[in-house]
Formats: sequence, C-alpha cells, structure tokens
Amino acid sequence: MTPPKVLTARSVEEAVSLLSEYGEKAKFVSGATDLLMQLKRGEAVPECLIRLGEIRDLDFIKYDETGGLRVGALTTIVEIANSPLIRGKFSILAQAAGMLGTPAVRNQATLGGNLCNAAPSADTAPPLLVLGAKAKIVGKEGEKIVPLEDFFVGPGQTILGQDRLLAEIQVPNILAHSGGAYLKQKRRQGADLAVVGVAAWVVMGRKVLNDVKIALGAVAPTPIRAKKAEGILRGRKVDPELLEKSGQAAAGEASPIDDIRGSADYRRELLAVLTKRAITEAIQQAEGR
Amino acid sequence: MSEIVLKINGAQVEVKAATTATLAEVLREELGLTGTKMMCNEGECGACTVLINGEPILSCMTLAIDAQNKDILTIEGLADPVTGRLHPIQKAFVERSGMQCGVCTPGMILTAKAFLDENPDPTEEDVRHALSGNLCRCGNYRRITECVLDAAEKMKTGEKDEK
Amino acid sequence: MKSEFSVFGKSFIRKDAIEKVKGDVKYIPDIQLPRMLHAKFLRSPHAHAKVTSIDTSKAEAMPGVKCVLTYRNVPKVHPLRKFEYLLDETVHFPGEEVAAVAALTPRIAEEALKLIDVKYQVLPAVVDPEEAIKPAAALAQENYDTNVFHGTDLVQIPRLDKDHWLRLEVGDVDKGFAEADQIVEVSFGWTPVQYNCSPKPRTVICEWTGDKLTCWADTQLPLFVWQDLAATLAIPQANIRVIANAAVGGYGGKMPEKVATLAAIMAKRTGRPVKAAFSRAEDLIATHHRISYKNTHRVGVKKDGTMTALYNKILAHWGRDTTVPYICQGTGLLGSTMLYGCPNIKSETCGILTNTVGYGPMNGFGDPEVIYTLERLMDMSAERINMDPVTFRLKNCMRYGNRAMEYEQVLYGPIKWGILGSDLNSFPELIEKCAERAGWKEKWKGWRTPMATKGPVKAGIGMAIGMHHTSFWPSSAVVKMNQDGSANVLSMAVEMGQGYGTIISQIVAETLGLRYEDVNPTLADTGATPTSRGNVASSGTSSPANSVRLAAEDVRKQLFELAAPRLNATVDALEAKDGSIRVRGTDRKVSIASLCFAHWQITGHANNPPYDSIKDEKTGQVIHAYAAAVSIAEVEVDTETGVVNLLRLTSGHDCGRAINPVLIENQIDLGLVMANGWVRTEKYVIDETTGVVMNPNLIDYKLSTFLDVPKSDDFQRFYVEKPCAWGPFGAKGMSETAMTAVGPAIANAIYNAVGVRIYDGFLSPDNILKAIKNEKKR
Repeated sequence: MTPPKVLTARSVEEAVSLLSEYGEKAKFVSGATDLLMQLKRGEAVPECLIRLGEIRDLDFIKYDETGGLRVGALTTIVEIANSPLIRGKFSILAQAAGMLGTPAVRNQATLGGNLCNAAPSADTAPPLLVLGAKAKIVGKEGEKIVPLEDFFVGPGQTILGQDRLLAEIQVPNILAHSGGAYLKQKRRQGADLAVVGVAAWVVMGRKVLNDVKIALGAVAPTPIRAKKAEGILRGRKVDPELLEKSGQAAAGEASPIDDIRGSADYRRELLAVLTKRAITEAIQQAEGR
Repeated sequence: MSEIVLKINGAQVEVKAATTATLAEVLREELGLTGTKMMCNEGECGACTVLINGEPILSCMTLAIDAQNKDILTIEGLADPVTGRLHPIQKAFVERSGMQCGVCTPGMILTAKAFLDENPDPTEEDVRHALSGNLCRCGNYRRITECVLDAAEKMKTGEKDEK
Repeated sequence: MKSEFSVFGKSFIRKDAIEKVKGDVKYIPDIQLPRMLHAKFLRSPHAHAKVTSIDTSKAEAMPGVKCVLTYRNVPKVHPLRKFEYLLDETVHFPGEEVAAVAALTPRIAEEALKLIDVKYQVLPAVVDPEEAIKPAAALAQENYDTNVFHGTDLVQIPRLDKDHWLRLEVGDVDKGFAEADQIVEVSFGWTPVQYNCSPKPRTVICEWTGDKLTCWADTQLPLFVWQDLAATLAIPQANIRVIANAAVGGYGGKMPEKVATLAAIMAKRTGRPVKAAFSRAEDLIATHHRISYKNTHRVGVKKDGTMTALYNKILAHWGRDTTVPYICQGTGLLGSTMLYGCPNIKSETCGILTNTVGYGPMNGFGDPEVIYTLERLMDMSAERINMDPVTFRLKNCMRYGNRAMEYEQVLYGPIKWGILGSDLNSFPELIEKCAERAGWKEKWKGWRTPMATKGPVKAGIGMAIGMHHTSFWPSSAVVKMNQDGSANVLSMAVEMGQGYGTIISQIVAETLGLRYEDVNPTLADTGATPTSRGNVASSGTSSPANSVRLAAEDVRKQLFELAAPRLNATVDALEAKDGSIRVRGTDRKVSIASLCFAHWQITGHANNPPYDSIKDEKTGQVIHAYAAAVSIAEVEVDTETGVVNLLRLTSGHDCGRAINPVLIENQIDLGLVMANGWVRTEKYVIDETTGVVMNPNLIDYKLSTFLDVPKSDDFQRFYVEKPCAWGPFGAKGMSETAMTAVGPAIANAIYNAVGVRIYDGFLSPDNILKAIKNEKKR
C-alpha cells in the first residue's frame, strides 16, 4: 500500500486549487479523525490528503446585527460550545456543540468537519437547520451561498463534491421572543452518537407561535426539516393535543432504519416524544427572552 | 516517510514517521514514550490523551504531522524534570490509590491537569463532566473524582510538589 | 479489631502507584525488544468452514515478512485441551485464526495478510443456541456427535448424566413444592453477553534464548499459559519462563491462549522475538466473553416466607470454547443451590456448542448469570406473599452452617458437602446495614409503587443479594530476606490492578514487624516465583496471599531461632516488632537487619494446606470459603423514552478482614460499575445468521463513563468484617462477589418504579419502553 501524499494548503484559494488539481484522488482533512478511522479499519484511503489545518482565516466566530452570525468551518466545536456570543443568542447551537463527542474530541473536531462528514446524526446540523443557516461554499468558479438544507445530499455526502470547500456557516440574526432546544437521545449518559436528535426553534407571538422550525437527526439519510410537524404548530396556540399531533407528524416524516444503535420503531417513538419536549423547551426559552 | 519535528515535554525532537502515522504511534513506537497508553485506538476511551498547547487531545486520532509546532505534554513530562517531584495531581492519585490497573491513569491525570489549570475550584459535577471522555474499565470513577478534588485543594493552597 | 495490627488493615499506598502515575510501567504491549517482529492473524469470515486451499506464497515473498504459519506447518495439537487445533483446517467461528504472519512492522504484517489466498468450503453453521439444541440442528463441531457438550478425550466431566446434563440436588424438591403455599415459575431470556474489554487487548511476546523460551504474557493465569506452552511445544516447563508481571485488568480468564504458542513458534523459526498484540476489534471478536445463561426457575414459598423448594434449570451458551465454560456452570449450579438455605433444591444445566467465539469466565464466573434471574424470581415470590423483599432475603439467605462445597466437586465429584464458616454471619448483618444505609424503610412504598413520580418519570427502589466463591487452592510462596533486613515476596500470582502486590507486602510486613516500605513483591514469573494458579475465582486474597502469610511465618520462625540464643530466651517468648526480634515485655531485642546481615540465607517458604483441612470448631465439618453481597438500587425511569438513570447505589460486601480498606473499596467499585454496564449499556450484537460480531469497537459497545454512575454521595459501598477460617488473618477475596447483586437490584428497582418486569434481554431504553407499552396494552 502506498501511503497517501500529504499536501498542506495555507489559504482557501490554495486548498481549492489543489483539490481541483487532484480531483477524485484527493480529500480534505481538518481534524483528520474520519480519515484516521478509515486507515485504522484498513479501508481504502485517498491518494492525496490536503491538510486544511493551517488555514487560519477559516477559524472565526463573528457577529453583527445585520449579517447575523458567521462561523468559520475550521472553528473547533469547543470554541462554539464555549462562545459567550453563541451561548447568548444562538444557544441551541452551543448546546448541541456541547453534546458532541467527549471533551477531548470537542477540542479537535471542527464545525466544517462535522458538517462535511455528513453523518445523518451530526449534532450541529439540526440546530443549524432550525436557525435557518446557510453554507458558504468556495470552488474554482468562486463563492456560493446555499441553504444548509440543500447542503446534505445523502449519508456521508454533501453537495461539495470533489471540487469545492465549505468555508463558513452563516446564521441570520435571531428575532425577539425566540428560543430553541436540541434534544439528543443516547445509549448511555456518557458520550454517544445521536440515536435520535431533535432541534426545535420557535418565535413567540402574543398568543400563538409566530414561527416554528423543527429538524431531525439520525432518522433519515440526511438531517431533515420536519415541515409537516412545523405546519401543525405554526400560527397556532400550543396545547398538549397539538403537540401530540406535531410529534406524531414528525415521526411520520422521518424514515429511520434499524441499525445497531436502535430500531426504526423505537426511533419513531422517540421522535414523537422528543419533538414535543423540544418545542416545549424552546417555548420556555423564548418566553424567558 | 517524512522527517518531522515535535516539541515534546519542552524538548525539540526530530523523528522519521510515516505521513499517516498518528501522534500516539510516533510517541510510543518511534520515541519509546510508552507512558501514553493505547486502549481502543479509535478515539473512544481517552487513554491516549496528551496535552497539546495545554488542551487535552486524543493522540491516537491526531496525525503526527499535525502536532508539529505545538507544545506537547505527555505523562512523562509532568513530574519535575530536575527533582522528580510529582505534580499535585499525581501525588493525589498516589496517596488515595486513584488507579487499579493504571492504563487510564496517564490520560486521566493529564485531562485533569488541563481542567484544573482552567478551573481551580470545581464542583464534583464539573470534574465528572471534564473527565467524562476518559473510560476506566476498573470502575474507579468515584475514587478518581476524589483524587482530582483533592488535587484541586492541593493546587489552590499552593502545596509544593513533593516526591 | 484493627488495633491489633500495625500494617494490616491500613490503606497503605499501592506498591505500583508511583510508576503508574508517572507512566513508567511497561505493560506487555509497551515492551519493545531489539529485532522484534510483529504478528498479525488472518481470520475466517465464516462461522463454519473448511479451508480447501491456502496459498501463502505471495505473503511469504513480501519484503519484511519473516514467517507465515498455517495449519500445514504447525504441530497438530489442541491448545488448552480444547476441540480446536493450533491452526485448524476447519474453522468454527467467524474470526477464528486461519494464518499467522510475523513481519518487521505491524503495517507490513497487515498488508501481508491481504496477500494470503484462502478458499473456503462453507459448512452448515449454527449460531443460535436454542437452534443448536434442537435434534435436527447442524453440528457446530462436525467431528462431535451433538451440540450439547459431554466431554472429550482431553476433558472429562465425570458427573455428567447420560443425557449430558449436569445436576445437583439436595433434599426432595417434589415434597418441598407440595408443602408450598405459593409457587412461582418463570423462564427468562438469555442473560447478556459481556465483553471483557480489558484496558489492554491480549498481547504476548515470545523470545528464545537457545532452547529456552521467555514469554511475556498479559494474563492473569501464568500457570495455565506455562503449562500449555510446555504441552503444545513439547518441551519441559523448566525451559519456559512466563512473565506476567505487568498484567492489566483480567476481569476473568484473560489469557493469550493459543496465540502464545503461535508466537513462540514464529519466534523459534525466525530467531527473533515476536510480539502478537490484538487490536481492540480482534480482542472483541476472537477472545472469550461472559457466559450467557437461559434460566428457568421455580420456587415454592410458605405464607410466612419460608422457602420450601427451588428448581433451577440453566441452559448455557458455550460457543466454541470447551475448556472453561463447564467450570462456570458448576459454579452457577452450586450458587443456585447455596444462595438460599432452602432444604430442597434441584439444579441442572447443560452446555451448548455453537459456531460463535466462545463464552466462559468473566468477573463472577457463572454466578452473576444465574443470580441475575434468580434474584428477580425471589422478588416475584416475595411479592406473591406480599412480603418486603428485604425481609424475605433476611429470612432465607445462606448463613453460617449452611451447606457449601468447592465448585469443582460439582463437575468431578464426589459430592461432599461441607459448610459455610462463621464469616457468613456477615450476611444478615450486611442486609440489615445496607437497608439502613439506603433508607429502605422510608423509601420502600410497597410493590410496584414508585418512590416518586414527576411527569413521565418514575423513581423506584429495588434490592438483591449475591454471593460467590473465593477459592482456596494449592499455592506456594517464598519470602526472601535481604541482607539489610528488607524483604522480597515471591509469588506467581498476578498484580493486574486489584492490589495483590500491595496486600502481600502488608501481610509480610505485619508478620515480620517490618516497615511496609521495606517489603516489595516479585510476581508472576514462572522462572523465579513459586507456583500459584494466578488470580481467578477471587482467590488472590484467599490462596496465594495465604501462602505468603505462611512463608512469612516460616521466616519469622527462622528469625526467632536465630535470635533466641542471642537474646537468651526461648522461641515462644519472642515477638517480631518494629524491625526487631524482641523478648516480649522487655527491652531486649536484636534488629532483623543484623540477623539478616549475619545469616544471609534466611528464606521462608510455604505451601497452602489442602482445602479440606480447615474445619469448623463446632461441627468438625470442612469450611468452604464464600463471600456475600447486598445491593440496593434507586432508579428513575422515563416512561416515555425508556431511559433509566441510576440515581443511587448502596452496596454491602463481606471481606473477612480488610487488609487495605481503600483497595477493597476500589474492587467493590469495579464490580458495581461493571455490573451496571453489563445489564444496561454494554450491548454485544451478533448477526443471527452469520454469527459475525456487529459492533467490534467501543463506539457501539458502550462502557460506563463517569456520567453513567451515581455521584459520590449516592454511590455508597461498605464492608463488614467477620474473619474467615481461610486466608491471611481471616481475609478473603470478594471482588467478583461485588458484581453479583447489582444487576438484579437494578432490574428489581425498575420493576418497582414502572410496574413492568423485563424477562428478556437487556435493560436498555428500547427494551424498557417496549415492555412498558406492552404492559399498557394488556
């Protein structure tokens, strides 16, 4: 086995240009954790690795009132979990980041890594989906902003393909009286991948929910929005019966599978319950604001 | 293979390593620093934890080439290099028998050090969460928590490291 | 009690603490020898297959590869007297070794494996033990006549009945059931398989010097590795030195098994040391796991709680392991006949072979697997007569004077019942104290009545008792006095984390009046230490440590004999204290150091007396050593998600005498945490058709973390000291016992919280939710 060739990109432009030069033969690595797992399992590895870790200008958390939040793809998960800014205004994202892996993993894992690995269970995805996030993608032809919902294409697959790089995530500023919650079902109290993940974001009106967004993780080929479940609640006054309906709808919109972490049936049960609970917690947070 | 330069326990070390060698492999196999233990080799147990620029990092999930130009602290570097005096955390683990088989111990101690350096006055819950990524198959969680809280006291009172 | 001792009974720091916190310990996988080669194994993808062709030529030709082994070029011997051969032409489980490669680096060895061309003829396989036991099932071992084990030429179990079942009976169960007011019968599903998950996977290093072999083995059983190497290599034991001085977390039967012989062969052929280190995945796939039982119990009780009869049927899943599982079953059979002092008990068991990896000893060795179900049954019986479960256990638990036997007798006979010693007066005390510490009276609200309800979350409390043997075996030790009066203790038993090296140093220091700091252990080296089995059966404290005490007493006798003329006294007027031999009650003394300097050949040696030589003073009956445990668990169950939170665990244990209190507590914690994982999170998944392990990694095999055990205030353990007739100063082993009561206590607590009993499988959230929903439907 010939070990892969390792190249280092020192800027976004260099990264993109190297990737287009090597095409299918190359892969980006930031924390390199996924690549290392491939190597350790004896799976085929790319001929060429392009290290992104030296690109300093992809590691940032920025905010302004109009533009909202921008987080660079190489920002570590621990920085997101601990950022006073994100914990203040976009707490659902900090909450999810704090639940990702173990403390040491959070020191190393990056937002870009979590999203580009595109596991259906990726913890940062459901919160970003309900926050209405967009992805800034850079290729040879230049930059492009796409809604995060369009970013995931299948399990482990994104629209980046073999010639583009995820540079940053953009999140619009939050509205007044809004709040969110991310609930993650695990197999133990310690670290785990999500068996089921549910994120909910609400904007409270005086009597009704002005807006609601629900996103589900680990229950479909990609993280998804539960739009039917949202529709049941949007513009309505929330009561237990409505929550129940919404939960059932979310369970129906998902397409969970039986796998080693849980059965499809169990996941549907959980979706119904966790959707209700996530909305309830989101409302509590919104009412506190 | 490539020539890499790592800064380990304060010293610059040159070593030849495969481009995809992990830091754990380089430490253990090339440099004979076997204090960093391998328990799962898949980033799930925390035994291989070293401190990189003061942060706990899993050395089995880090490419050695990515560890260059950073300060790496392994367990071998924790006691005073001149006097051999143990760090207060090591001392607490010795005094209170914070280990059984000892494989998780280096990772536990280093993770605790990084944590206590930032959080000198932790609650028990804080300690449990900080170490939650370090597995102890010998089930010593209660004892280890006790050792780390004791170490926090020692470090607060500025107790001198003693052998 | 503790004031009579100066070293014994105190929590001295571990002998290995400093090296462990500094990272100095060289565990076997850390050892690097010059010119060392690395071995890797090619493994069968099939559960049952014949190797029709195997071409290793490309692998052999690969640069850096030094040796390749297949069934064609290794001796045709049975390692550890098992069915299988060293490398077999027919493989019997997915993951079985088919070939071995030794190369310059692990990576080269792994690449070489890919160049070995194997063709298999797939044979009918049986993976499910309930299928295997059916008459029409495929044979797991094609050269055997059945899937129910009944011995081989190499392994005989004389007490097996003609129908291949092993039975143990006392009294008359039919009569007993006829006397009962209530009879409860339950069949449970298979107890969970648990992966040992020793912190270091199996590793062995072999190196030859001429015709002498040194084998560094990460094992808790150096004796068996030593014997097996001698047998399979056909050389005298005297030519083999097995060193297990840095073993790691055995947790039950950890051995490199045939890998030791294969590594030795490769080392011989290449003239270089060979290290065979399993990866975590290999360790999960190809080493034995906790035995699994499918149990049916039937119990008869009177209204007043008296147990009149008990019947236990144990189906045991062996996989392809054929040496040790039957010993686990003998243990379980005996445990189910001893835990309760019921006069009429019948227990029977059989072992089922399948084409899966192999199940056998792991922490508890056959007792937790039967107690897990038995203690749920006992709760059901107590409920049936509306009795508090604590009261029920107090009334019926085993105690001093009850029947006892050494577990190997169950297999080999003759059945000669002895009794439990007065140390088991601890059991009622443990139950009462545990209930008191847990606040049972205030918290127990009655059967199926939660302690508290908050929305969908219900809290419940439950309890269980447990027991396990602590074996007394032949064992030999040497205490070597050095010329400065310090001592080394030589014992073949193993320090794998439990603190053996520390406690024997305390024992010697106490016996000889030396400072703890002046005694050090030399362990687990078959070339240098006298023989012990190693550490299994919680025997460390009871067996090899006892021989250490006797060897120290031998030294003391020699010191007294040397000192007596110097002090102008008789031997019986002397005592060993504070580094001197003194005449009691005077200040005439001579330092031990000066005696050792003058007479520099002071070496103490002792062997343990036979196990049936310790008799009860009152009845003259042979005393057998067992330990007891009680656990009370409080849980919270989310009835909408099935998630269980273990809120509080209170656990009482019986140790005879505490040699080192902190180490005892640490050992208890091990059992508690391991049991928690066994019944709740450590799910081991095999494909039902292929037998392939679906989760050979720690991402999907979930161990308990800090957050999965209660915080310190809610994680209470205590012990009670009633000296055992065995063991040094009355101490006895209790580590495995710590495991036995926790699982059923948690299960019983869940029942009381949500009113639903889980009979099948695992206490995982999905199973609990399913059970809750099924109950709602009824």
